[in-house]
Amino acid sequence: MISLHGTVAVGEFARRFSLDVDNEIVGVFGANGTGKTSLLRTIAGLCPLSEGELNVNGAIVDAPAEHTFVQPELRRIGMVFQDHSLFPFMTAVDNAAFPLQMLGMKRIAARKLAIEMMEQFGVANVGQQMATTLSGGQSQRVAIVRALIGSPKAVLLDEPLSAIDEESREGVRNHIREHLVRLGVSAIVVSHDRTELDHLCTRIENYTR
Amino acid sequence: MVSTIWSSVDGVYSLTVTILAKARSLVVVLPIFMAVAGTPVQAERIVAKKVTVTVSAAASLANSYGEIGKQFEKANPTIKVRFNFASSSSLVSQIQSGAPSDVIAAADLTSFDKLLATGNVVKSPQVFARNSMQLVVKPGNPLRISSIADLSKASVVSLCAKTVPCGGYAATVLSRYGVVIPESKITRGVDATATLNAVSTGDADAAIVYTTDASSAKKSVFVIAIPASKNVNASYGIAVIRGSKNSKQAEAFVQFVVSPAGQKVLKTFGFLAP
Amino acid sequence: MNSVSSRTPRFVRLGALLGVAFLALPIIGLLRRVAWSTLWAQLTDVATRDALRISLYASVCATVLALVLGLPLAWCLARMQFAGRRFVRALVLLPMVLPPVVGGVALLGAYGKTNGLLGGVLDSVFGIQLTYSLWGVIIAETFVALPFLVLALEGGLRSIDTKYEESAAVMGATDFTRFIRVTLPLLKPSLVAGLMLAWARALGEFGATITFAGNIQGRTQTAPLAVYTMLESNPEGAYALSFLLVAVSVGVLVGLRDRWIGGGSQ
Repeated sequence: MISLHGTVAVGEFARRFSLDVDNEIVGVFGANGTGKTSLLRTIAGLCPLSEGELNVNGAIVDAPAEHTFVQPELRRIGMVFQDHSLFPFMTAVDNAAFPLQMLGMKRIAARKLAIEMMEQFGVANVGQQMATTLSGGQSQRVAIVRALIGSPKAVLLDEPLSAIDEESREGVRNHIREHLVRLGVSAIVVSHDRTELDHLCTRIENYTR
Repeated sequence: MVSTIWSSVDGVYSLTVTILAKARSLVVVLPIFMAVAGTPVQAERIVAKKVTVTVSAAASLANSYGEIGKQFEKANPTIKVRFNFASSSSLVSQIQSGAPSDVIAAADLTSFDKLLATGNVVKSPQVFARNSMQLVVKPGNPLRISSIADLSKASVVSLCAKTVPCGGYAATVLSRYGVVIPESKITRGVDATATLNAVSTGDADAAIVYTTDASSAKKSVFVIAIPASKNVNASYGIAVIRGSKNSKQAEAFVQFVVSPAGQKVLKTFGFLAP
Repeated sequence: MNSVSSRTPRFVRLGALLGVAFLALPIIGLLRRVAWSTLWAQLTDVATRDALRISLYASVCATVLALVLGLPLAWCLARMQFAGRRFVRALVLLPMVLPPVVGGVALLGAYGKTNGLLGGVLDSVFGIQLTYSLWGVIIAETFVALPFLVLALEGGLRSIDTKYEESAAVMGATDFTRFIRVTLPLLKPSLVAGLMLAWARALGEFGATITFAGNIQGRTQTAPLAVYTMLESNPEGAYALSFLLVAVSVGVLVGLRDRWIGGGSQ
C-alpha cells in the first residue's frame, strides 16, 4: 500500500499530489515536466516532501511536520529508473543480484537467483557482460529484474517498457504483472504511453499541467 | 581584504577542481600548479655603470662578509659586490664547473689546493682569518652535557657533511677526544649555517660549529668551549679566480678583506687574526 | 580530411619541438654523466641502498596517510556545505605554493620538540620525538603530497554522476556500503591518478624533509637528500642514484598514461 498526500518538489516548482494505491497497479499518465518522476523519487526517498505525509505499507516514511523521514535504503522499495541507472562497472548479473546482496545474501547464491529471474525476462544470456555493453532493451530488462528481485514492499516503475521492442512488449508486460501479483504489492507505473498503461495497470491517474 | 584573498584562492581552487572534474585528467592542471608552486624569480636591476664583483664565500662568512661588502661598496662607489654563500666544497665544485665568480673565500686551504690543481686559481691564497670549533647545545643545557666526551647523552648530533671543511674539522676534534658518534645519531648539514640551525631552530641536541657561528647564534644556543689543546685551527683563504672579467676590482676586494678595515670587521664577528 | 582544426601550423610545431628539446636535454645530459660500468656498484653502495629503502618506505606510508586524511577532506569539500569552506580550500592549496623549506620550518613550529605547538606535548607526555626520525620524513612528505590527492579526489567526486549512488540507496545500500561498492569504483580513475601523483611528490620531497627530519644516513636520508649530499663527495654515486630516480619517474608517467591522455575510463 502506498499513500501519498502532500507537496512534492518538481524542479523549481512544487506540486500537490494525492494518491492512494492499495494492492493494485496504478498508472500515472502525463506529459513530461508534470512531476511524474519527482513523484516516484519522493516515494523512493530520494527527495523529501515539503509538507504532507507518505505512508508505505502501513509505516509513515515521510512526515515533515513530525520530523519523520526514513532513508531510501530502509524503505524496501523496488524501482526501475527512467535511464535504468545500472552500475557501469558491474556485470549484468551482478547488477541484478545487488539488492539480494544488500539483504545479506552471499554473492554466489544471489547470482544464481538473479540468473533465474533474468531467464524469465530473456536476458540470462548477457549475464556476464558489463552493463555498459548492453543494448537499451537488455539493460531495461536487467533494471526490471533488479527492481523486483528483492521482494520489495512497493514497486515504482518509470517508463519501464520504453526501450523494449514492439514484439517483446507484451511478454515483458505479462511477466512484470505476474511478479507484482505474486509479490502481492502495490505498484506505480509512470508512462507517457497511454496504451502501455492500459494494458499493464488496473487504474490510471491523469496528471496534466 | 582577507576575504578577497580567501575568495581569490578559493577561486583558483574551484577552477582547478572544475577542470579536473570536466577534463578528468591532470594534464591540464599540473602545469598550472607547477607554475604556482615554483619559486618566484627575483628581478635583477641592471645597473649600467657599476661593475659587479661576484664573491663566492664559505657559509660561515655570511654575516662578516655581508658587513665587509657594505663597507667596501661605500669606499668604492663604482663597484657593487654580490655574494654567493655555500659550503666551501660546493663552491669549489661550482668554480671547477665554470660558475662565473670573481673571488673565492674558503674555510680551509685544501680547497685552494684543489683549485690550483685544476688551474682555477693561479697563485696561493692569502690567509685572512682563523677560526676554531665550539660545541653548542640547547639553551639551558637540558641534557647537562659538559664536553665532547659527554656527547653520548645526545640523541641527535648535528655535524657538517664529511666533505665540507667544518665537517672535517669536527671529525678532527672528535678524534682528539677519542669519541666516536654512531652515524645513526648524526644529522649532516650541507653547510655550517644549516648545521647550526639544527640546534638553534631544530630539535638536534648538540652541534659542533665554528666559534663565529656559535657566537652569532647568541641566545638561541648554549656554548660549551672546546679547549685549545683539543681544538683545530681553521685557516680561511681568499684568492681571485682565474678568468675573472673584473680582476682589478676583484683584487681590490681581496685587498680590502686583508686590510685593517676588513680585519676589524672580522674581529667583531669573532674571527681570529691570520 | 584536412579541416582547419586538424592542421597544425608550422610555428606551433616549432614551439612544441622546442618544448620537447627543453625537457629532453637535461635528461639526456644526465644519462650521459652516468658511469654505466660502475652503476650497479654505486646503486648497491650502503648509503645508496639505505636512501632507497628509506625513500620507498616513507613515500608509500606518506601516500597512505595522505589518503586517510585526504579522502574525508575531499568528500566534505565536494559534497558538504559548511562555513569556512573557502578557508579550508586555501589551506589545502597552501603546501603546494609554499616553498618546501618554509613548509619544513612550519612543521617544526607544530611538531618540533622545542617550542613546537604539539611537539612539546608529544615529547614531555609521550616521549615521542618526530623530528630526526623516519616518522618525521613521513610527515614532511605527507604535508607536501596531500594537496595533490585532495584535488584529484575532489575533482573525481564532483565528476561522478550521483544517480548511481541514488539507485544503490534505493536498492538497500547503507552509507558505508554505498561508498565501498559504488562510489569508490566510480572514483577509481581519479583515485589512481591522485595516488600516483601524491606518491611521486612525496618521493621527490627535499626541502621540508631536510629541515624537519634532518639528514641522517640510514635513518632519514632519503634519495633526494643522498643525491645532494653525494654531489661533491661522490659525484658518480649521485648520478647513478639520479638516474634511478629518473627511471622511477618515467615509470610513474608510463603507468599514468591512460589518465594522462584522454582521461577517465570512458
